[in-house]
Amino acid sequence: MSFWKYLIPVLVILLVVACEREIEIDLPNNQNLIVVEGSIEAGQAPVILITRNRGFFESFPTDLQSFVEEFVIQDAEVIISDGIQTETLELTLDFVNYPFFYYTGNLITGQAGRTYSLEIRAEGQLLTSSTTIPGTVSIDSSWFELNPFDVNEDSLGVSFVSIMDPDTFGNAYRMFAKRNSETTFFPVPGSSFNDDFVNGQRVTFFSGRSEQPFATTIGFDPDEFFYKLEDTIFLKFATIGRKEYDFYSTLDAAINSNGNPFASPTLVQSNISGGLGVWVGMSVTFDTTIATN
Amino acid sequence: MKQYQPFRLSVLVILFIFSGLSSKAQNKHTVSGYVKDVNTGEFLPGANAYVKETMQGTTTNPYGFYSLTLPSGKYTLVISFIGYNEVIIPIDLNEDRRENQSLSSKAIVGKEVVITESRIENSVKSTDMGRVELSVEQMKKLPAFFGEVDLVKIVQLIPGVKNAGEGNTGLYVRGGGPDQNLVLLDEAVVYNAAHLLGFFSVFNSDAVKTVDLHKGGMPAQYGGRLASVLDISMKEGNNRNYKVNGGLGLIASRLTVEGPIKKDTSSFIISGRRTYIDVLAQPFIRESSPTKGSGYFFYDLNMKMNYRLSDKDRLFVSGYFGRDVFTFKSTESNFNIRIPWGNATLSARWNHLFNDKLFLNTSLIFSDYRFESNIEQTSFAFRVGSGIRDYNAKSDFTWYPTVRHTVKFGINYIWHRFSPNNASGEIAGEELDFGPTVNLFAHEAAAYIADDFDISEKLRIHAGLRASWFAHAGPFTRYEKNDIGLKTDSTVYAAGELIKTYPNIEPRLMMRCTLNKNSSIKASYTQNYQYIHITSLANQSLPTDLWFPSTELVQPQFGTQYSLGYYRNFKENMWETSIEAYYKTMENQIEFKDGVLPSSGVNDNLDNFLTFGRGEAYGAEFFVKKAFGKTNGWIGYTLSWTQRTFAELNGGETYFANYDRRHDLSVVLSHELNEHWTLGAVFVYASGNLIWLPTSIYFYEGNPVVNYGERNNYRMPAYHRLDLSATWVPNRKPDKKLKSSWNFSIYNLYSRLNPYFLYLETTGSPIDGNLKNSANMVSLFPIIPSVTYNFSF
Repeated sequence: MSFWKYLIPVLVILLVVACEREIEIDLPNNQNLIVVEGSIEAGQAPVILITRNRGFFESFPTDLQSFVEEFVIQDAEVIISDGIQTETLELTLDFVNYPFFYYTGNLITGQAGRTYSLEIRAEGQLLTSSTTIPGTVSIDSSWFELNPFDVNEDSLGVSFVSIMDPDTFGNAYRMFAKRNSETTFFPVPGSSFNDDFVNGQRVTFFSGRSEQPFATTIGFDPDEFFYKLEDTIFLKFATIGRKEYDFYSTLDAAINSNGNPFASPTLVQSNISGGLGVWVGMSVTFDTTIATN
Repeated sequence: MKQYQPFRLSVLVILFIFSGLSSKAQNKHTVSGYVKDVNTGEFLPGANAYVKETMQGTTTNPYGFYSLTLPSGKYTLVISFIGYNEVIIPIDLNEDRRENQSLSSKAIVGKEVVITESRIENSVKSTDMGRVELSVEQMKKLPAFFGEVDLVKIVQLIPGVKNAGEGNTGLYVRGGGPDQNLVLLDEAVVYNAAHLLGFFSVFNSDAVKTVDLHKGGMPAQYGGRLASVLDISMKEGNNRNYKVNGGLGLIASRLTVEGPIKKDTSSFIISGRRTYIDVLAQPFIRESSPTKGSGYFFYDLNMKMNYRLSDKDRLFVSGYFGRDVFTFKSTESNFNIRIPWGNATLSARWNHLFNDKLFLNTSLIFSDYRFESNIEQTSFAFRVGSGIRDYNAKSDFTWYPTVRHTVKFGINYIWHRFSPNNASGEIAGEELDFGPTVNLFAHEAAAYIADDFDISEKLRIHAGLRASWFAHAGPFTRYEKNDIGLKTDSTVYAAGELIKTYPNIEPRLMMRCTLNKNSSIKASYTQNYQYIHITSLANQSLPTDLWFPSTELVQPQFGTQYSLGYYRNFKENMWETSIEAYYKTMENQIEFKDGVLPSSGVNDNLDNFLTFGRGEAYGAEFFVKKAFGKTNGWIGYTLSWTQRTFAELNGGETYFANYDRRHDLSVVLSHELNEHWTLGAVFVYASGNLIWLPTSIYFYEGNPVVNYGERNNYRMPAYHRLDLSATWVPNRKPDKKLKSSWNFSIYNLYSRLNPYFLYLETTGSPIDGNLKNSANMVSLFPIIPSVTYNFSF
């Protein structure tokens, strides 16, 4: 039956190899929006990066200098208030650590339970928001385990953290980490969760390594995701408000579904009126663990 | 005073129905009977029965029954049906008579088809608007995708009916959504009519007898959907002789066996179909392949039996069972996925003839759709299932009081069970807690009455009234939420408790005004309620679509449709032409709120995540059909718009639905070359679907994040395609019973790369200076030739 012998592979190829080509799309960006990446931690001064959006199908600058000029807004008027005091923040530069360009001040520092309003004027637009710093929930314990999904694994693993969720609904959290000599905490993959299913219970969860900004990795890379034996793992655990949680959960979904043609778009739920991004108040606790078997 | 409108209309409708029914009982008699196919003994629905003298008549009902009540006198009764030789019987009607007739099919091959009569029921004469009947035999002569004749794909070639894109059997009728079509197989609802993500429909053409589509004025006996009814009847089985027929195709084969159980009294038909890509591919996958055991197949099984209990009673039992099964095995990572999904239906129907004028059909129907996904890894297992199940009972009466009236009335009750995603799983032997299994329950009931009434020779109306009632019943837990989405309270309803009921009245009115022998004007006004909804986070129909009932929060969908049409036939009805225009509104349409994630519905009410709006659709459909002759076929063109407005979506601005399609053209041709060869061609052109693309990008914590502009802001490139086919019937040896034919099809002759979907990609990094966004269009099917061998004996 040489007929079948030739036919089947042809059929399989037809079904499996769909044709794909890049197309030009003429869809102008008709909305210049301002993006806020702002946080205020209990005991700390606010840190606010302000950037612009850019047409999706426009080409990007190829050198870092013009990239920064294109995206970062360096002349915004940024005012925060804790209800009693009001402070205008100043642009600060840090050549080593992300976010490199940020607005901060030296009068107001975060305090759990207080609400902080934010007002930004830039490029003829007015953005407002407010956030409340929730109470602290501490890391009770943390430890390292070899990859629990693979019994044969002998070097790669994850960090576990155990916390006690308070007996009130609506708590939400965000997990950050750094390892070894890294200087800055960044969020871990799937960084945020809430207590919808675990209210008032002990919660134990694992996480992998934090994601570095502007990383180019696409897809799951075990060597990027897992800790290795003997890593020193620094953990930063933050409590956040529910609106702010909604921002991070939709942000994660939007980043993860980016490019999935069957998913309908996830709209990121910002708490900034008049712009994009988030203004988040956090109470944080820290812990350190060493990856040992 | 908007809410009183239906009631005022209802009164009008009832007045219409009873006017003239009580006309003085002059000396009248009834001629009635069943019309059958002489070769198979199967009943012929939709055949014409009329008297030549007055050109008054009727058509047979779905069970082949007709009844005409006329003043005493001598008449010439004509029984005719397209594709069959007509029967002419002189009758002296001085008493009630039974005229059961069998029609023989015309030997079409090799003969000029002679048109001898102008048919009593045709597109000009009936009150039906936007109704299309299709013959399966005609479909088999057309090009078929991979050689599989697919009636849903052919229905999509009718103006006003749109497909969802490449290879998709989803139906979008006159701007309505994919959940707004009532798809019936022997009266049982088929909730998901698609195989293989929509490349094939679940209907095996060998088991199907008739296909009847209502896209415009929906008669009162149908309800529960806004946009259309696709009513498919299975064959009953030959009650004279045993017959086997089947087909061998490149990706699937079919086999049908039918015959009498007891000659002329009872018969059966069993028909099966299975794809075998998986089986054929197995030998080519090495034993050591890491994905050995992966594959995909689907199968269908249709069964039907009928039994004539007496001259007045008949029993039909029919069933359908079909499954798609996708499996993926990875031996390397010890990973298994098995995803089966499909429909099961069972209908038991009893026809009873009370007398020559009153016909009753009572049906008990079961219908079920399930989707399941099983994922297993060494110490981890996860299952998620969803579906819908109905138990349905209905009684439908047809009453033929006089030749000018056909009255239909009946009642219907459905018990629904909805199972939105219910998950279970275990890790290292420990059960995972996904909350309790949540099913939702509902009662749906309806009663209707409708009259097809010849007011005068020129004016005919279909006046109908449907009363429907829906109740969401317990057990149910309602979670109440505050404005930031936190659960604040919950209310628990006991099993059987009625949580919310919706009683409604749906008037249906269609009228035809004959201008002359060959032309007429028709108008219709219908109101429909739809109590069940598809909720989907995906942007196209998928097997994972969830059906959801109306609840306290989800109001029933409510549709109003106005349509107006002009019909004209030429050359003794050889050419049928029509123009129909429609305007529709759809209230209480549902969508997910912005920012809802697939995980949001767990331990919560799904409807807490929905938002509600309205739809509007309008358009015009142009249709030219050559009904018979050596060359026949049709050209259909639709110009249409469909819009949605949701207060909470798109900033409250009206937007076009993603299946808004400005232009849609279909050309279907069939030409009989000689007694061996028949050629077929299909050409389609459709404006591209709308999709929602991001307009800008920004960075958050160094991750690129897309920002969307207005909804459905980009129209994909147009879809067009030409398919050709040739059917060859070889010479038959006179002594052999075997009949066979070969169908050669070419799908997408000029290999147009039609858009299937579009995806966006961000590559590179600003640090490396090579950041880039791009859009990629994926096309599925280039030119695909296929061959199918069909046989019967």
